Amino acid sequence: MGSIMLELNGIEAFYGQAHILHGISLAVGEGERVAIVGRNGAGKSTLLKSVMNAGPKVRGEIRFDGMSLGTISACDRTRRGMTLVPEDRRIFTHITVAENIRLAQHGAGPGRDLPALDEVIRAFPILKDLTQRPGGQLSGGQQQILAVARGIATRPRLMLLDEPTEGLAPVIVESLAQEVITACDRFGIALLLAEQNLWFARQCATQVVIIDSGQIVFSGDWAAFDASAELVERYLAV
Amino acid sequence: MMSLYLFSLFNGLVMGQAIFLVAAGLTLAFGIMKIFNFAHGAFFMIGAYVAHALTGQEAASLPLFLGAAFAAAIVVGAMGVATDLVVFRRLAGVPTEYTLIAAFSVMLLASGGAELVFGQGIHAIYPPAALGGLIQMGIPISVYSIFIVGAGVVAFLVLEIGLNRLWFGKLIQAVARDPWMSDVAGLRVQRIKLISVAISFALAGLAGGLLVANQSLSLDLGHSYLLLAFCAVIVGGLGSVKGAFFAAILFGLADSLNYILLPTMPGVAVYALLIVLVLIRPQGFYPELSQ
Repeated sequence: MGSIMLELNGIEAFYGQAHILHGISLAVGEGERVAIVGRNGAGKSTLLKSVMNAGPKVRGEIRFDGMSLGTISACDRTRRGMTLVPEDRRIFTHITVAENIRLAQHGAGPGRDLPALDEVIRAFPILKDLTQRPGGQLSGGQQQILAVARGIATRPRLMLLDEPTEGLAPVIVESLAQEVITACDRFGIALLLAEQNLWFARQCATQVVIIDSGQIVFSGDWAAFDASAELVERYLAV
Repeated sequence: MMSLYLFSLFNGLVMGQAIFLVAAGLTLAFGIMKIFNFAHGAFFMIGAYVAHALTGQEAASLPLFLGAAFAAAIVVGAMGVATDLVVFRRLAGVPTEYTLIAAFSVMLLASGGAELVFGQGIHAIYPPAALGGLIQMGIPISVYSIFIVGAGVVAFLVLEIGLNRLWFGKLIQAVARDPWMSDVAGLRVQRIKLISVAISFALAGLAGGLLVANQSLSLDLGHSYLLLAFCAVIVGGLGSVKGAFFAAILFGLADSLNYILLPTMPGVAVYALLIVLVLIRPQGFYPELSQ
């Protein structure tokens, strides 16, 4: 792994009175791909949203490129090279697929070397014939692919990808894994992936973190993960 | 008898376009800020006063009349910027009851301010000579009323095209529909909201400047239109310009036909129509922005 790009130190996150994350510390290197796995409600989404400052109230330190982000807004974090692909997709339904991508690129701010629309579409062939279709007329699966493509289109340095496989057909999950890996390598994007689908997480990431009740209970590579079968049993079995 | 109905229908159309001119800014403000801007009528009234201050009782020419209306739009739009910076922006995260109360107090402040500046007098205003005559089209129709219908249609087309075809309009809609995702996607949500609020207020000022002629200008001017404009916004679908346009015409026609069909019960048709339409279609004609 290259130099550290994202570093979390003792992150505590709250929704109102609810204390969701407890002392989360982790690091993601330049171009590294890390999966966060854990049960529903373990705090995976909250962790990604905390990194983005997009919802929960966060205490602790988040450093990006060595700089402490403090209370910088989600909008400015996006402009600094992060992108969040939320689990509920949040495609804009009133504009077309191409315009959704253009909007994300617009939001990324000036001075970035952004891929052309064609290049983005080539990375996600399912969108090929849909560029002029309004976001509201896409299926759930198509919206999910567009949400990922929209994230990639901003050529972020770090993509926060939240449960992309939820509700997708198995065959689409397979191709999506390949597309995510290829795009991340091509554009030099580091990945922090929250996922329940272990197959997908294994395809996409080299490092894995298990969280349970808002705490990290395991962190390592897949070999170490496989060597601790009882962990999987305890924290991931339904 | 026939001409009476024709006359009434035409009057209804004129009334409808006048209502729409007021409702347009109101529905835009709802779409963006998710609040009912009670102060809209007061700013409409201020727009009328500003235009009157520039032109006097009768504008010397049509360009001067239009220029005064646009000046009113700019003045009131600037007030919108101030109102957003001082009041609405700070209330973005709190329950809507607070913003309703805030909008109500802004209305009281705006009315009070207008009274201090413009006084309590009632002014009779006339359209400029170019819009002053009558033409015969089977029924006598004032040129000014044709002008109002034209202004309403132009405002509708400009807003529809602006919001649905222009890139900035699409950004405004993105912020209105999903402010969270817009922020996460890197859009300058606060700035886009501020511009939208300015446009909404400017529309109120423009409507005041355009509708001031043929009215008696007083501090109560806002009330007569605001209620009907609220009806149009609710029935049209909160936040929908297209819905407000068609609903405004319906209410204009209902109010106008009311005078010949039920002359002893003025205004009742509007409320009956409101109740019926809300029962049939509580989400409004075009509900896309009302969640």
